[in-house]
Amino acid sequence: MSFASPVFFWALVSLIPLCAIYLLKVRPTRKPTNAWFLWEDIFQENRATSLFQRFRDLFSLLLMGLAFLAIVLALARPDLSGDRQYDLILLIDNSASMSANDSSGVRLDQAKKVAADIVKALNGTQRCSVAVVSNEARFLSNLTDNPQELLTAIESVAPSLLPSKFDVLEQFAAEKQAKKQVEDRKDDAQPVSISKRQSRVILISDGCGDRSLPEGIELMKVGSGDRPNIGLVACDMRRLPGGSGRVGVFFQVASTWHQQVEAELVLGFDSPDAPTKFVPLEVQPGVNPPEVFELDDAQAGQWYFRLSAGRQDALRVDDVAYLTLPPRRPISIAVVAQDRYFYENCVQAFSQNDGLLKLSDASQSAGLLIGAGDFAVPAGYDGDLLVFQPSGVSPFWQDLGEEIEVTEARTVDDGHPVIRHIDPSLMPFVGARRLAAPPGAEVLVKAEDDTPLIYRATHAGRSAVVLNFDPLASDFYLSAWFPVVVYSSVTHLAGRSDEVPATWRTGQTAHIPGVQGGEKSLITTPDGATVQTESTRTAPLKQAGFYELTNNSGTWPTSCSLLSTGETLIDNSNINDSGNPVNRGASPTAWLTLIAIAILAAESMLYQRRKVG
Amino acid sequence: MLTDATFIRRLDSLYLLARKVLNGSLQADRKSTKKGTGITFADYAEYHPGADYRSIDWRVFARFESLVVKLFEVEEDATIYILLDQSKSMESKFRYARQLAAGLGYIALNCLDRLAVYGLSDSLTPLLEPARGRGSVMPLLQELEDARTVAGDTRFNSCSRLFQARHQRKSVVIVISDFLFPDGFDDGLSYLNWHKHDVYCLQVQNDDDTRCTLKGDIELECVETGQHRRVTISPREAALYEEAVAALNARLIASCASRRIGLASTTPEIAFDHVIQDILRKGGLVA
Repeated sequence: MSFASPVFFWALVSLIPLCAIYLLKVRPTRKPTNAWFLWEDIFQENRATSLFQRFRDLFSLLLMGLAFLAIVLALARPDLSGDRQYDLILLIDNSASMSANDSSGVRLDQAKKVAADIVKALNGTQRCSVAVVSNEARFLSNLTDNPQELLTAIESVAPSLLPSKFDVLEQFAAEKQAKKQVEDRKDDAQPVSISKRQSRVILISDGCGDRSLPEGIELMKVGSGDRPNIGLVACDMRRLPGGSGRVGVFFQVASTWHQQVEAELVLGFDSPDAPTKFVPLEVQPGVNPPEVFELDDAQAGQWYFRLSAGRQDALRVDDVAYLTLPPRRPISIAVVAQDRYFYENCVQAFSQNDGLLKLSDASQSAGLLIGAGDFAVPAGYDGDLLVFQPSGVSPFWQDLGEEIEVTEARTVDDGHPVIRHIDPSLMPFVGARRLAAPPGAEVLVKAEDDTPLIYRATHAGRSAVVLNFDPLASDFYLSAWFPVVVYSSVTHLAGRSDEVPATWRTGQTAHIPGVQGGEKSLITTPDGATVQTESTRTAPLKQAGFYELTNNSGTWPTSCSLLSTGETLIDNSNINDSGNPVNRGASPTAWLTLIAIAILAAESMLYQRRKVG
Repeated sequence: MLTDATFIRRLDSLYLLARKVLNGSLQADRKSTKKGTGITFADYAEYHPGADYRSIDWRVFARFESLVVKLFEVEEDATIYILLDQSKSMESKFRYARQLAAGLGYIALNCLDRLAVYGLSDSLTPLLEPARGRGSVMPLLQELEDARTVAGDTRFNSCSRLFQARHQRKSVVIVISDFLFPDGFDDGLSYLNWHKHDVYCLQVQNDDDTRCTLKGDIELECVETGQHRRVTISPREAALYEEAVAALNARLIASCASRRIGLASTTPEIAFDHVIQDILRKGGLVA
C-alpha cells in the first residue's frame, strides 16, 4: 500500500493538542446538591453502568482519535492496488450488439455501470478519460481526476447501430501514446510519479463483432450471452436485366441458436406494417447460406425486410433491414458524330439491358453528348461531353497539333472508372494528335511523349472525357472495349459509375449519385436532419432507415441497415476478461471518509449523552 | 435585614392578626390541668386549714353551711422552641427560614411566652437562650440576622435527643427545615412526640430540592459534606430523583399525620407572613 499525499501524515501531530483540548473539554462542571443521600441511592442502583461511564471519556477520546486518523488517511489518499501510477482510459463499446438484452439487462447499461464503478474507485490522484468505441473511437471527457465529469460522460453514452471495429483502437492507442509522450516532455520538470504515469486502456465490451483486440488493451466483458438471437446479416434487391419490373432479392441470416429454428422474412413496401411477401425460413445455427428469390412487378420505393423468429430475440435492431429500389432514371444521351451508327447502337444496347442509358433525339435536352471527329456542340447544350478524336477548337483541349504515332500508351490511373475495365496498353490509339490537356485535367492514359490520350477535363462546370485517337482508324468500333469505354465514360460523367446497393451498412459511406465532386449535395437523414456535403460520398451512416440525397441531378433515395454478422452473433459466453482486475466501487478514500463520519456520529451521540444525559 | 423597620412592621401586622384570630387571649394563657390561682373557675374543694380563705365560696356556705373553696385552672406560660435547620442544604432557603422563625418568635414573645431558638445541624446550637417579653424581640431578630449555615450533615435524630436532654418540660417545638436529613426524621419526631412536646414541622423546600434541573456529565457535590462524584444524569436519573424527593415528602406527611404533628410545607416563593397567617387561620400550631 502506498499513499499519494503522505505529507498529510504530519497532521497527526495535531492529535496532541486535540487530546489536550478534549480532556479539558470533557471535565465536568461541579454542581452542588442538597439531597446527596438521595443521589447516592439512585447511583447505587446504576452501578452496572459505572464501568462504561468511567471509561466513556477515554472511549470518546479514542473515537475522536480514530476519526481524525481516518480523515488523515483519506487525505493521504491510500492506494491499495498499486494502480495509482496508471491513468485509466475507459473505452465503452456502444456498438449495436451492446443493445442486446441479456437476462442480466441491456449490455450497454451494464457497461456504463461497470465504468461508473471504476470511476467511483478512483483515489483522487488517478486520472481517467472516457471514450465510446464502435467502428470509431470518440472521447467524451478529457483525462481528468474529476469523478463528476467522468460520471456525466459515462451517463451520456448512447447506443449506436454501428458495428464493432476494434482496429480503430490501434490508431487510438497510438494517438494517445503520442499525446502522452508530448505531455511527458512538457512535464519533465514535474515529479516523475505524476508526469510519467502510464495508461491502462480498458475496453468495456461484450467482445462481439470484432474479436481482434490490439495489444495493450484490456477487455472487461459485460453480457452473458445467455439469450439467443437471429438477425439479418446481408440483403439486397436489384432490378433484373430485361427492363421489366422483375427484381432479384438476396438475403442472409445468422443465428446464435444451437439448433435449427423456424423463422419468417416479411417484406413490406412503403410501410413495415403492410407485408407484401412472406418467406418461411429454417434457420441453422451460425451464418446461414445466402438465399435468393425474385419479385415480379416490384415497385420502386422503400422496402422493409423484417425477420420474425417467433421467439424472444436478444437483439431487435438486426431484425429489420431498410432497402431502397430506386426509380428508373436513365441517362439521356445525344450523339453528334459522323459514325453515329456505332454510338447509337451501343447506347440502345445498354438501354435494352438495364435501362440506364437512353438515346435522345433532342440534343439540347440530352443529359450527355457523345461527339466524335469534327463535330459542333449544338447551341444551347451545356451538359457533359464524351469526345472521340478531338478536332477544332474547344476549351477541353489546347494546342491541337499533328498526328502522332503512339508506340506505348502509359496508364496513369488504372483504377479510374473510365478505364478500369479495359487495358489501354493494348489499344492502338491510331490518329492520336498532339495536344495539351487544360489545366486541372485528369490524365488517365498518355503517350510516351506525355501527350494525353484519355483524360477528363472540366471547364465552366462542364466535364468531358476526351479519347485522343480515331476510333475508325483504330478499328475501335469493332473492339469489345468500345461499349465498355462508352458505358464507363458516360456513367462516370453522369456520376453514376458506382452501382448503388439497395441498402448500405451502418458505418459505411454512401455514394452520392449525380455528382462528380465539388458539387453540393444535401443529405436528409431518417430522423429528418439535413447535412450538406461537397463530396461524392456521405459521411459514415450511423442511423438505420431511409435517407434522401439531393443535388443538381435530382433527389436520390437510399437506405441504411445494420447487417453485421459480428453484431448479430452475440454469444460471448466463450470470451473472457483479459488484463488485471481494476478497482471498482467506492475508493479507500471514500470509505475512510465514511468511517470518519460514522465515528464522529457515534462520538456525537456520546457527547450528547455527556451534555444532556 | 431582619432588624430593619419594614420587616418589624410586617411582624407587627402578624401579631395584630394573631390577636384577632385568637380572640385576644394570647397572654401566656396556655391551659394547664393543674389547679391553682387563676381567673378561670375549675372546681370546688373542701376547705382545709391552711387553704387560702380568700377562695372560700361564701354563697355556698350560706346555703349549705359547709366551707368549700373555689379552684381555678392554673394559667402557666408556655415555652416555645424553634429548631431552625442551619445546615448547608438550607443555604438557598435560609433567609426565608429565618424570616419564618422571626415571625413565629415575634408573636410568641409578644404573647409573653418563653422562646428559645436553636440551630439545627450536626449538633444543636443555641441561637437565642430562653427569653420572655417584648424586650427580647430585638435580641431575637439580631441573633437570627447573624445566624449562618454551617457545614456538616443535619443530624435531626441526635439533635432531638440532645434537645430533650436539655428541656424535659413539655413545650412547643417548631422545626423549620427542608427535612432532607440523611439519617431520616422519623426517630427524631417520635422522640419529641413521645416526650409530650407539641411538635410542629414547617418544611421549606425550593424547586432545586424537588425538581432535577441537572443533566449530562457533571460532578455532583454534597453541599453539606463536600463529597463529590462524577455522574451522568439522564432523564431517567432525573425522574428517579424527583420520585425520591416526592417519596420523602410523602413519608414526612405520613409520619406527621400518624403522630398528630402539625405540618406545613412551603417554598420561598410564598411570602413568609402569608405562611404564618395561614397557620394562624388554621387555629395555631396544632395538628
